[in-house]
Amino acid sequence: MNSLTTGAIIGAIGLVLFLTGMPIAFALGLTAIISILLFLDPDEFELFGKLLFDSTNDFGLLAIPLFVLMGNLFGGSAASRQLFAAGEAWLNRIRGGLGMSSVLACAVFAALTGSSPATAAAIGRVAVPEMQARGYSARVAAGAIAAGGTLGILIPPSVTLILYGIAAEVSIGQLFAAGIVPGILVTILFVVWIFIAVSAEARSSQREARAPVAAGQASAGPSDTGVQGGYVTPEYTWGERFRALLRTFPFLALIVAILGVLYAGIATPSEAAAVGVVLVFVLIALVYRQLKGRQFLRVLLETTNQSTMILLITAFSAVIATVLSFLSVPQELAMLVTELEVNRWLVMLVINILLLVMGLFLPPVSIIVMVTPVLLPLIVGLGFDPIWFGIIMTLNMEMGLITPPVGLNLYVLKGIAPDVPIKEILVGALPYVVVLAVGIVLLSVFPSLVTWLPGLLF
Amino acid sequence: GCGGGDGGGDAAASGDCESTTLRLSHQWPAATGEEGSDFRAELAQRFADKVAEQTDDQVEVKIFPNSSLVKSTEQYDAMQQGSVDLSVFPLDYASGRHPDFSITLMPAMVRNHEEAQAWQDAEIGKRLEKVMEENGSKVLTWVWNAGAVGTKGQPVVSPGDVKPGMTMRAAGSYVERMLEDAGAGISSLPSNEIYTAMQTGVLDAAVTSTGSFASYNLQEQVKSFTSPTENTFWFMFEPLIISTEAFDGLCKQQQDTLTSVGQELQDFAYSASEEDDQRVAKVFSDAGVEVVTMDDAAFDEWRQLARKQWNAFASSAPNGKELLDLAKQASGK
Amino acid sequence: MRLLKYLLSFRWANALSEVAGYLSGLALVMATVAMVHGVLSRYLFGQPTVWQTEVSIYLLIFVTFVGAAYGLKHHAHVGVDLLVGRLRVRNRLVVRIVTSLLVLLVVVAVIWTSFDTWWEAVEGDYRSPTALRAPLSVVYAILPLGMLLVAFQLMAFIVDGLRTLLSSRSETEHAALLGQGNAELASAIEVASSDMDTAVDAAGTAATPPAEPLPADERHGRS
Ligand code: NA
Ligand code: NA
Repeated sequence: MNSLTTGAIIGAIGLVLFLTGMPIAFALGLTAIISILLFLDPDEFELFGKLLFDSTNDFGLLAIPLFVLMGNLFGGSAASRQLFAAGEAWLNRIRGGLGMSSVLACAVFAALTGSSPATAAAIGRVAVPEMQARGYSARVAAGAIAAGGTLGILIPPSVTLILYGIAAEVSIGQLFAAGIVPGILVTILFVVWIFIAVSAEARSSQREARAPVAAGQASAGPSDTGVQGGYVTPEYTWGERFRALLRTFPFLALIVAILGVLYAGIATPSEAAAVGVVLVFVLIALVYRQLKGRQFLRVLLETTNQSTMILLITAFSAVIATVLSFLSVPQELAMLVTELEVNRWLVMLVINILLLVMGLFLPPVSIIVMVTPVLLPLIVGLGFDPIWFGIIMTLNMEMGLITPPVGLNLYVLKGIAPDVPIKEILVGALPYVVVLAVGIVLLSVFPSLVTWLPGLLF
Repeated sequence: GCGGGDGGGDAAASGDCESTTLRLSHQWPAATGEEGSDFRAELAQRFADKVAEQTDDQVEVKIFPNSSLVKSTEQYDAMQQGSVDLSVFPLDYASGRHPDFSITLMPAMVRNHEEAQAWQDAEIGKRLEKVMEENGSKVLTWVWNAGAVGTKGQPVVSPGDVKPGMTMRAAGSYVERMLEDAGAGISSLPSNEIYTAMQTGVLDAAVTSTGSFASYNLQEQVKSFTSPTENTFWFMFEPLIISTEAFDGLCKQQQDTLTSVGQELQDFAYSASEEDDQRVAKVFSDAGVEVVTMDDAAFDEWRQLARKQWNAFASSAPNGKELLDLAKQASGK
Repeated sequence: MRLLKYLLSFRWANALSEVAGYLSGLALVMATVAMVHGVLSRYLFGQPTVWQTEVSIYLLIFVTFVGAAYGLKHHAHVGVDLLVGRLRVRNRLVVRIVTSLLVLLVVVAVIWTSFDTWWEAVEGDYRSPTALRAPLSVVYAILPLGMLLVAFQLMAFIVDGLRTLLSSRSETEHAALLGQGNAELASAIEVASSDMDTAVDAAGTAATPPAEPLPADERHGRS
């Protein structure tokens, strides 16, 4: 049988097993077992346990639980509230300023955690009620947070970039550096879209200004409130603005410290994650006294849950990747596509569409670990930079986080704003899929946006 | 069938020759046939081509480069288990399971290619092949790799050049311990992180094969390079091997073909490794790196320091004492 | 007889999974401390950092495989609920029982093959090929041990699911198996809400199953 046919059959088996609702990790494991029994010597089965162990026996993977732990420590602190308040104090004069400060707070929080749902949840819990109280429509509020949260995996640290780096054997430090400029670019694109969406809404509706209920609840305490363009807009003095900014200083300093540890040559990404955990712990538990023993225990247990989920998927994916490699599937795929001699950008377009389709149903972690080993020979063979592709893939994964039926960030929104109908969340979030696509096009036209910073640092 | 290792056994050796596919795994980028292509990958490719040619495609050797099948350090396990049949394998990687194999990466034991190549016909060579066969593998082509020292500062030529607190990355546990004795801090990083680690200053120096120095473009990072063209304390045995299980599964005629092809490539393996050292030294000096060599006096200092590790090996590995004595004999000391 | 019945109910596995979770949390702390110790001793004192990295990796492997039982109990292992979520409660439970049996099959396969690897390492006194020379008999035990705990937890789910299925219709929705969730987002919400004054109803996404089995000590009294 042709390698690619075999590969397609294995893919079909996996799909059927996914749809039974089995945990993805074990569905992958069962796919591997069936494939070994069908297409390889039953002898190879002995390797099963060994491969599973070896795939987790990895220096780079160590960073994942530690960055997750760091993000969880932050998630329970006042960081999100203060970041959001500071953004709001400075942007209150601009149309859509509150929505913009939500996205900016997400971007900063993304620099403190490796996960997108964590970012959306941390900022969303503060920002969504506040936006709604100030007259933002549910769809604009929910969309800004669902999309803003996706920055969690683009702006370093990033769980998915770590997994990509290991699968593609490229430096995780370089990948992190490569995510910074695109992260800023996507943040700007999101802010621009909020301005457009809010302007359009303001024009089309003759909304009554709502009473300033709880307007100052989460913010830095505005000295006055007014109504502007249908929205409740608190006024801030310059003193209030600087105080709000000052309160975020410890968190900004931490970001700088962790990036410094990484790029000044003190530690590897995994070690930087551990240093980050300790710094965050010291800041939150000892300086802010916001962490009690029980909470810390809960953070540890939740980190265990998230880590075992991610790493078990990674481990079983590695077994599948090996089985496919035994069957020469990635090699044959690369050869076939290269021999077609079509324009490589056409291939890139097809790859992105495939990733987008997978992203409808699967979380980013599983897609990255399953697809990277298969696609990498092809990507390199076509002359694309694997670091650049890692960032393109991350933007694509961000789309998957906000597309139904399975979009982790949509679920987060449903969790933190139960009163908002899921339809409103969807309508608010879907334009950002287009915005992210624009981001992919921009990074394809100007690849130096990705490669410039890693080139400068390394 | 597939895999080649199953069934058959000795019976196959006398019976009819069947078509078979053997899997060869290695950790280097696929051979390109061009200048700068890793010679170990090139060796694997030539082996596969010649075997196909001489058996009229009856024996197909399928190459899995770049550790695409299993992790580089797990290749020996995979061979024992039957998933991989052949490998160009740094034997010391399996020393956790077979401590005797550490003799092939003993610090300051082999000083140059001449000494390394002498092993094959010396007593140590025979004994080593026997130890390997007892542990499930057979050498088809002998491959030795010389290692260099690259640093971000002053060159490391003798143990005294290791500054206290200098962070080094080496391969091989006995080499690492010797460098610790010289005052270095050891960082165990995967080889694909060496470049970044040097860039960020996590590493001050690295010891690895000259081929790896070039393929990871470390000339862009290091200021000095101690080329092994005169002496070096790091010599690693990375032979082309076949698992005894896979070998026994072949018929006599196929076995003879594999053995003879391995021997035909022997000269290539030796000379390519030597030429590689020259080539890489040139790449580094062309890039403006200070390229130095290690004179006999400096090498003797390393050897003095290494004796502690030699003795540790002799007392801990099953055949340690015997292998050590034979290795010393081969190097004439 | 009562003891046998208790053993066969696999309820004790719930407590074992909790212990596995707490031990994994401890392993996370230990890995953090070991790595920071490594950074400090290398950067400040120029000491070698051979053991810190390697030990941390083993601790991480512990979190992955031993923590898996805790994750399973708390429905951390995300699945695609697209079709199953549309089924009626009773049918959904039947599907969950069947898929749990399939998962058990995978887990037994892992235990079987990894036990072999472990036993080889014990018999051969294998060591890691690093300067640490860590005994692989200890390291390789993590995978079969963790998967054994996962198998116990699965049995607890399956027995509980079958029992609810056979009992009255009204209890069906309380089967522990139906508490399907998604760890990443459920805990994201949970952690984010931990300092907030307002309690948020994260129903449908929370990791906690609708009817959490009673803690072990209370259960003794009941039976
Ligand atoms: Na991030
Ligand atoms: Na989706």
